[in-house]
Order: sequence, then structure tokens, then C-alpha cells
Amino acid sequence: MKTTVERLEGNQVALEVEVGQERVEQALDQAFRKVAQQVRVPGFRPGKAPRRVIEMRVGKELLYQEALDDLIPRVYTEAISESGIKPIDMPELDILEMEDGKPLRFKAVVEVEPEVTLGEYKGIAATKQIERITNADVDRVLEEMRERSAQLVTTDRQEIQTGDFAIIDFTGYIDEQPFPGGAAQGYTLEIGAGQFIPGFEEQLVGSEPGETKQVTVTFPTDYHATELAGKEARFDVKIHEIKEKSYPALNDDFAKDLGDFETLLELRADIRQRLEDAAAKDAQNTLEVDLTQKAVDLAQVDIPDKMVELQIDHKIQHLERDLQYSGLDKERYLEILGTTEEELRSRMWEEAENEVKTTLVLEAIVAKEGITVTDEEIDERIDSTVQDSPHADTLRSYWESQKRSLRNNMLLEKAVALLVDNGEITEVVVDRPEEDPNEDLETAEEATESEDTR
Amino acid sequence: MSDLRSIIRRPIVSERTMVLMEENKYTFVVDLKATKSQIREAVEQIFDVKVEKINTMRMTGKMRRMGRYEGKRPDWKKAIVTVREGDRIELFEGL
Repeated sequence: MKTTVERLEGNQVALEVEVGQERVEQALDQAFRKVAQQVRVPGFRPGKAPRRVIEMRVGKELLYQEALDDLIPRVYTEAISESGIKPIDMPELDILEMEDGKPLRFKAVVEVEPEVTLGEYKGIAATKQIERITNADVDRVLEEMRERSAQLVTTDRQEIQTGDFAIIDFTGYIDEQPFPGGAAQGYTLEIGAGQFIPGFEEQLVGSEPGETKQVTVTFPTDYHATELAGKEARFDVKIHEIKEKSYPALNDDFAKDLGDFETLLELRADIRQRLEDAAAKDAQNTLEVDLTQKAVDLAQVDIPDKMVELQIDHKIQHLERDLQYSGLDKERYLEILGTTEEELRSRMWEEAENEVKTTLVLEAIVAKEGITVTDEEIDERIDSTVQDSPHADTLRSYWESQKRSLRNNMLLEKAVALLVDNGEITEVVVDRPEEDPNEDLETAEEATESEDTR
Repeated sequence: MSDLRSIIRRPIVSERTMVLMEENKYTFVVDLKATKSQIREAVEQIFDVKVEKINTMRMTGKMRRMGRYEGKRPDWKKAIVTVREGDRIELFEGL
């Protein structure tokens, strides 16, 4: 097989491939055998007719067609990997010469990944912002731990206060008629948690155990059960017991109960360590993203729309899969967002374009720096991923089958690591920005997204 | 019958005759009334080969029936022509 590569304009590449006669002959032979099994020729059992008889019967063209259908894709793939070009689309094929006893020549024109003009990617300045861990942070974690190990105990107090837990029976009436879902026995209600309709919990404050109290509330107009929304209801509530949360004391015993700690100080040190590790990891991640983006911005790539489209397809697929987990499908999701698929796609465009560019730039760095990943490194990675998992075997076989994409990912990771190693990094310790109640949510979303990027 | 081409009707192409061809024996459907010498003359002229031997046989037409009506395909004559070692007949050219 001989291949000539010619770069055309607009990321197009023309491949001219010549396939040796022998190989063509082989393919023809195979095609003949395949056809022979299907064609019935009078005088011959199926598959027993000689080549010439078949050729006469079905025509040589069909035999050639059959042979080429099998041969060309195969040869094409070989030519691609041999010449190292990376197509992003199906090729346009053109057969130049195909005759008996001559080599086969064909031409494939295909759009390939664009060439990347890398900017300066070594010595990029970036700031690594590490969050300062304060005693207050440690305290907060400790408080959460206390909260988790809190227990409900019956209190001696005779009056319900906000923050108490009341054990109650209740029956609700609308227009003196009980309604479905309006009654319960032995229900534990946290007063002031806003679990029930507004007003319900508040009206119980001050009640005593054993008392039966009438509570009158109006269902909010936007109540989820529409037949109840906006209606006024009366509840007969019998109070059995008042309980309150009892928090364990913050002392060495509390630390011991949690496991491997002897003293509260040890526990505090451990918490601090974990918080600091997490902060360092966060900072590292942010730094990597930042540096990568800078390197990407400095590089020049003429990204074909086709690649962006493909990336969007990819993202939509991911989205559909995620939706499936939450029991939605794409149509329903679009309806909720009040948008169409085209609109969604066009909104994804910019992000997808950047993702494509990032990958291309990192790949260019991999190529330029001659970064490699050895099989051992891949095995190691699989080992460490699979480790400790209860489904180690399934996971392992999954990763074994994904070795190629794993290798690619690791190559890109190494490229990022190279950016970091060669960057001019300034480390600063910063105070945590003002507490944002949505922060947890957002970081969680980002985490899934960045995972999706590749 | 003077027309050589009406003596030899068509070759028989089947698994069996393919095997025979390896022994230089070519099989034809010939005119029922053709004689061995006529066949020899025809084959030698049309295909430009030297015929060594000819075996002929009368083949009885197969019985066919359409419901109640019985019929019979016409009888025919088969000729197996052995040609001289090295001579070849190209059977598949447009036949």
C-alpha cells in the first residue's frame, strides 16, 4: 500500500492510496466466496460454482463492488493511521483506477483536525489561591458533627418552644370534613423547621403535653396539592410529648466516640488537616483550569464547525443520560426550560468550542513535547481507580476496555501538569470569601461538568 | 444441417461438466439428428481445436404435468467431446 498525503485548504486533506494487486485479488476472492454462497446458479450447488461462472452470472462489477466495499474502508483506516492524520468527518471517496491485474488506486478527501499554532505555553503567570483554614472553619465542622450525633430526649419542660420536637397526633378538617393526607399519629414535628403549612408550627408554641389544641391554618395558594390550595383548614392536634435535641459535649469523650482519636485536640488537628488538604486540592484544580485556559487563549486554532457540532452532540448525549437518572427525558427537559433543541445547541456553542480548542491545544502540546504514557502507567491508574471498590471486577473490565481513551486522558493530564511545572506560579493564601448559601450546589455542578469535558 | 452452428446448440455448464473439462472433455447439447462426424466437423471449425473422440447419447425429455395434463419435454442429444491435449475451448465468452 502506498499513500500520498496532500494538504488542501480549509483543513482538508487529500489522500491518494494505491493498493497492491495482490491485495485486490485477495479481496476479490473473498467477495467471490461471499457472493457465491448467495447466488444460485442452475447446475451447481450453492457455493460450488466456479468463479468464472459466477462472474458471468452476476457481472464483474458487482463482484468488484462487493470487494471494494470491504477493502476500501479497511485500507482507508490503515492509510489514516499510517499518515497520522486525524479526520473529523467521513471521507469523500473517489476511485481513480480499478482494473483487472492492476493495482487499485483511490483518492479520499476528508476534513481533518485543524493545525494548532501554539502560543507561549511555558512560563505562564498564574496565581494559586489557597483558602486559609481558620479555627472557625474547624469549629463549624465540629458543630456539624455534634449535630449529627445529637439525640432526641424527652424534656421536663411543660411548654413547647421553637426548636423543640413535638410528638403529636393530628386530624385535619376542611369544612368539617376530614381530608386525605390530613391526619397522622405519633408524628414527630420539629417546631420552627417550616415542615408544615406556615402558621401550624407557630400555633403549637406554648402548648403542653397531654393538651389537645385546635390549629387553624390556610393552605398557601401555591400549595402542591391543588385541591387544597387556598383552603382554610382546622386541625385537632393532640400533644403527647415534647422532646429536644441533646448535643454531646465537646470533650475528649466525644472525640473517642468518633474513632481513632484520644483527645479533642487530636480530632481538631485531623479536621484541620482534612480541610487543608481539600483546600489545597481545590486550589490546584483551579490553578490547572486557569493555566490551561490561558494556554488555550494564547494559541490559535481555526476550529471547524463540524467539530463543535460533534462536541455538542456529545454534550447532549451526556445530558440525556443524566436526565435519565433523574427520570426525565429530553423533550420534558426542554419543555421545563421552555426552550428548543436548536436553542439549547446554540447556547452550548461557545462552551463546546472552548472545549474543542482546549483538547486540540493540549494535544498539540503533547505532540510537541513528545509526552508519552506507558502501559505500566495506565495499569497503575486502573489499579488505583479500581482499588477499594466493591465492584472491582466489573470496574476493572470496564477500564480495560477503555484503555485508549484513558491513555488519551492521561496524555492531556500530563500536558496540564507540564503547564503547571513550567508556569510562573505565585501562591497566595486567601481568606474564604463571604459565605454563599449556593456555593455547595455550584461546586457540585462544576465537578460534574468538568468530568464531562472529555 | 449444413449450418455448423445449428448442430451445436449450447454448452452444458454444471458442476459435473466442470469436472469433465479438466480431462479436456467438453459437453454440449447438440441437434438430435446430428451424427458424430457432423459434430466433430462443427466443433473443430467453430472452436479451432482438434477433436480426438466423441461420445453421444440420446437423452429422454423429462415428463412434466400441469394438473391432469401430462406432457413431455423434447428428447435431446448430448455430446461429450474430447479434444486434443493442450487445446482449449473458451466456453464462457458470451454464451
